[in-house]
Amino acid sequence: MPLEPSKKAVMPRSFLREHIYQELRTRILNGELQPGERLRLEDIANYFGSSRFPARDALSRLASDGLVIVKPQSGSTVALINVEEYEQTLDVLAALFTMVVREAVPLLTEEDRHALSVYRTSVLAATDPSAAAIASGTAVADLYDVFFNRYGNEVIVEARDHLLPVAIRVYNFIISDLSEQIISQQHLLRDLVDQANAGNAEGAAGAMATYFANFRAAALTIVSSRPELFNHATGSGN
Amino acid sequence: MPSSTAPSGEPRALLRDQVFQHLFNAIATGALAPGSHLNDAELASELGASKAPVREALQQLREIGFVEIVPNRFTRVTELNPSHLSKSINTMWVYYELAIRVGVPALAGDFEVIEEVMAEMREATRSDDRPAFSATMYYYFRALAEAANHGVLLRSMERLTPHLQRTLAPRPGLIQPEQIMVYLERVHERALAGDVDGAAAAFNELAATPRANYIRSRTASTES
Repeated sequence: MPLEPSKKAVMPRSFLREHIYQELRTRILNGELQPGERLRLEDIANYFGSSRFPARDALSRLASDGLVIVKPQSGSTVALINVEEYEQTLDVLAALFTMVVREAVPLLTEEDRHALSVYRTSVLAATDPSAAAIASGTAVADLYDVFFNRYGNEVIVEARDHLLPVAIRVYNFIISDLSEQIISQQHLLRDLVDQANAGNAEGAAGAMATYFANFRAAALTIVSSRPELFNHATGSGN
Repeated sequence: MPSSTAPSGEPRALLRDQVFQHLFNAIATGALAPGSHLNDAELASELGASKAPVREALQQLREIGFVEIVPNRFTRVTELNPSHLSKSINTMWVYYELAIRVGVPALAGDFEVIEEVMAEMREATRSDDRPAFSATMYYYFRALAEAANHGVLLRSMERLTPHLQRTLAPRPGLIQPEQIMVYLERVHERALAGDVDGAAAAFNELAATPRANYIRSRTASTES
């Protein structure tokens, strides 16, 4: 869906840049702005009722997230999803998540274990595939955050957040094909919680690593059947 | 409006990069100590540049956390933050292990690059050249990530290097290069044998100490 001029945003200028960035990022991640779609500076500025400067800032931040390709002469486009980059992003995320789970288990507090148990009985018990798939997309983040928050390394959190947009974007494109897979793998997340709550760091890390490996294999199979969205060329795509 | 070229006639961007690199090295090696005040006019005359590229270089150093700037008051070299450093190392070592896992299979018998870097690492250890040691250790794992052509891993590693550069400055409690080498020699030996799990396991033995130290510091802070 192209950006069409609409009601003008009224807000302090200092927030405008952040607002434009967040809005565009959300629409790219949820697929409303399609891979390859052109992003004209004038359209963005008009749409948000801003000058071109905050719009340009937002685009260059999106470019550093790997979501937008900025070409000084010919304007900007929404980046195609690069399969190699997606695969490699999953590699690095898997390594970070697995290490954080392993190292955080001995640090978990009573409160953390309670949060994990609540999560296990609510989200991980869901049986309707599409509901569970959607729940997994948003609520799985809460599960992981228990480990990330307790581990408390904000450099890792920053590294994770830098990589997540690419993974989330693909996830949103393939979620409908992925829901069966997600349901079939829920036992690994239940295992992750059980091992963590039993204080078994290696067991929890093993469940995390297996979950990632299985997810990766399933996601890449689906990705290869949707060539229209993906750029199979090697290289970073920008 | 400031001129876009310095007296020497070099483009301003180039001068800015030179000033940046000069100050970066000085701060990374500790030649410019934490807390040192910097004055753009003095730096400009010292380095033979105009004030504009010096200011731009200082802004870049601020972005990577090397200096802090309070407008109209001072610009100074930031204090070393040991907790942030240990968190950066903790993160980098996740990347190093992944570099082993993706890189060792990708070498496919071509060991020239890692043999070369390993030789430099041994030399740095013998001559007790800590900056060279830290740099070559990084190059070793970067070579593995490059062998796998793993762009995302390489970029993740690069994003962390500014923080880690400052570990080159001598400080108490550092693991000595010769201690690290005991483990890295095993990593290397396993890598040459094409034994991915063995190489990763040897590396994790090395990583166990800083990881345990990190956990200890976290436990202490939770209990207090």
